[in-house]
Amino acid sequence: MNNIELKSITKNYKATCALKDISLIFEEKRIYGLLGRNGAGKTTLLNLITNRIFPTHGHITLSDQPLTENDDLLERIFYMTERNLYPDSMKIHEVFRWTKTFYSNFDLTYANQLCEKFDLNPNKKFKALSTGYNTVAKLIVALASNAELLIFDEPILGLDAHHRTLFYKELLAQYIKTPKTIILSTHIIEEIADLLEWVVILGNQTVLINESVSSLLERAYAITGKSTDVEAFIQNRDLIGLEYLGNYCKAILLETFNTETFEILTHMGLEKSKVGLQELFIKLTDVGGVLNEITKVG
Amino acid sequence: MKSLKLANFHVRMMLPSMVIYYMIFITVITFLAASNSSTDQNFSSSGLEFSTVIFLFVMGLNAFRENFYFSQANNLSRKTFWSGLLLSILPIAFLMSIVDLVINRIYNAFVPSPTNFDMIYGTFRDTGMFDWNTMQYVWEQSNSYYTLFSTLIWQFAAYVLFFVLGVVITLIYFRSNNLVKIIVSVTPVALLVLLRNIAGLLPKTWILSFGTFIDAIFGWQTRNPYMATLTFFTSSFFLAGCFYLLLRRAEARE
Amino acid sequence: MNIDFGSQIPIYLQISQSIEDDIIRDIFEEDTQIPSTTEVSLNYNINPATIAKGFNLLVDEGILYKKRGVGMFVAKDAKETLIKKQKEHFYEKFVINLLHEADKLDIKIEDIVKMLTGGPEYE
Repeated sequence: MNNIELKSITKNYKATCALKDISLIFEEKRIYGLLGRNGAGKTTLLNLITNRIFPTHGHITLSDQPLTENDDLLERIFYMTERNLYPDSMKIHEVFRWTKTFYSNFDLTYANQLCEKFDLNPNKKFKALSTGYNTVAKLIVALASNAELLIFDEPILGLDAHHRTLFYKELLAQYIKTPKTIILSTHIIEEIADLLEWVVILGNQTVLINESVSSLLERAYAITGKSTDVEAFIQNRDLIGLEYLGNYCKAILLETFNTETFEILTHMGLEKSKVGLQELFIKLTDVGGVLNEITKVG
Repeated sequence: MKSLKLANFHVRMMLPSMVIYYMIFITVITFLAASNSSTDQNFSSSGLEFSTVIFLFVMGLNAFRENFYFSQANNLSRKTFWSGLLLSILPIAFLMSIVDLVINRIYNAFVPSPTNFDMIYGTFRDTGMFDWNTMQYVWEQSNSYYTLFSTLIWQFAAYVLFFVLGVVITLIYFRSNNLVKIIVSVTPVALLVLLRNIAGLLPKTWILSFGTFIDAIFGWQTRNPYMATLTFFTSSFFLAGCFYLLLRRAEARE
Repeated sequence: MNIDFGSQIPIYLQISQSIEDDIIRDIFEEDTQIPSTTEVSLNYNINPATIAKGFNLLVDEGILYKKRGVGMFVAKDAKETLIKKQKEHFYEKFVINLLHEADKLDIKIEDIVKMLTGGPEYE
C-alpha cells in the first residue's frame, strides 16, 4: 500500500500558523485535487509530504513508514514544484539524464517524445525558457519519472489551452497505463474537476473537505426562488453560500436531501439545481462573505 | 549509492569553473615566467597554491544552495546530500593538489617559487632563497619522494578543509535570520579585537602554552607535515559534523 | 457520445445517458463493442473511474455486457429495452416538466392539447 498518511500535522512559521492539526490520508492510485485559496497551506502541505520542510507537530508516513529522511520512500514520490530547483545553466536534456540517475524508472524515450509533442527544445537551458515552457519542462520530467506518486504544485502555470489539454491527456494516459497516486494542486478548478476522483479543500489552516468529487457534488444543491421562501427553507440546514439579487435569492447547501426535502421544495415553489466544483469551492472558501459584500455595494 | 551519484553530479558542476581557474592561473604564471626570462631582474614568487585554497573556499561558499535545491528536486534525503557533497570534494581536492604540484615543478624551472609546503617544512625555511654572501639564489627545491608525497597530501588536506569551511559558512547564513546573520558576520572581527586586548591580560603561561599547542598541531618544530595534515582532517571532520547538524533541520523554502 | 461539461447533470449519468441515446440511434448496434473506458477517458479528459461508473450503471441494467479482456458490448435487445424504459420515463421526464411550466405560465391543458395536435400551424 502506498498510502500517504498525515497524523495531526501542525506547521508554524514563526508566529503564523500555516496548518493546524491536520489528519489526512492520501489513498493510493487515486487522482486527488488539492484546492485552497492563496495562503491556505497547499504548498506547505506538499512540502511537508516530500520532506522539504518539517512539521512543528505530528508525523507523516508512506506505507506506514516515516517519510522523514528515507531515501527509498522519497524515491517513490516525484514532486513538481512551482519554483525551478534545477541549476539555471542546466539544459533540459541534462535534467533528463540526471533525473534518470536518481529515478531509475525514468523513461528517457517518453521524455523526448513529450518534448516533441509540447514543442520544447531539449537543448535549451532552463533560464532561457519562458514561464510556460519552464512549466512544460518540469511537467515532462514529472510525467516521465514513472514514480508511484506524482505531486504537482501549480502544474498549468503559464500553459496555453493546447498545452493544458495535452498535459491532462498525458497524465490520464499515464494513470490508466499504471495507476498511481496523483495530487494536483491548482487554482484552475473547472478544467481539472472531471479529472479528479477525490478532492481535498484546505481553508482556515485546516481541511474543509476530504471527499470523493461525485459524492461531494451529489450533496451540493443550489436553491433558488423568492428570498422569503428561500430564507424559510434554509432554516437549520447546512448553508454554505447565500446570494441576493433584489427579491431573488440563491442559497447553496451542502447536505444530503431526502424525498421529504424534495417535496417541501416543490411545495414551496423553489427550484433546485446542481452546483459545480468551482462554485462550491468559491462559496466554501469565501471567508466572511466578501464576495456578497461587493454585490451589495454594486 | 545515491550520494555517489550526487557527488558525481557536483564534480561535473565544478569542473568548468576549475578549468577556467587553471586557464587564468596558467596564463598569469606564463606571463610571469616570460617576463622573468626577458629581463635581467631575478624575481621570485612563493606559495602560489594559496590561490587554490581561496578558489576552493569560494567554491565551498557557492556549493550549498544550488546543490541542495538540486538534491531536493530529486527528492534526496539530507543525509544523502550531506555525504554526496562531502564526497565530491575529495577527487576535486586531490586532482587540484596534483595539478598544483605539477604546475609548481614546471614553473620552478623558470621562476624560483617555493610552495607553502617548502616554506613551512622544507629547506627553504632555513636558507631562504637569496644568499647575501654569494649574491646568488641558492635554494634548490627538493624533489624527493617524501617531499612530493607529503606536499600532495598536505595540500589535499588543506584544500578539503577550506572547501568544507566555505560550505559551513553558507549553511550558517542559510539557517540564520537577519539578526543572527549580522551577529555571525561581526563575530570573527569582534573575536580578533577581543583577543588582542585580552592577550595582555591573560597569564603569560597561558599564551605560551597556546603557542606550544599551535606549534604542535601544525608540526612546526618537529617538521612533521603529517601532524598538520591530521589537524586539517580533524578540523574537516569537525566541520562536516557541524554541516550535518545545521543541515538536519534545514528547510528548502524560498 | 456527447458530454456537456456545463450541464448540471453529473458526468457519469451523462455518460450512461449518451450511450443509451447512441444505442437507440443505432450508432452502437447490438453485440458490437462500444469504446473502452480508456478511450472515453482520454477523449474527454475525465477520470476513468467516472466513466466506469457510467458504464457499470448500464451493465447493471443489462444494456451492456462485459467480455473479459476484450471490453464492453451492447446486449441483445438492448435497443428495445431502452425504448421501453424511455417510454416509461417520458411522462416523468417531459410531461411533468411541461405541466410545471404550463402552470407557471398559466397555460390551460386544453391549450396544450391544441398546441400538440395543431402542430407547427399553432400560433
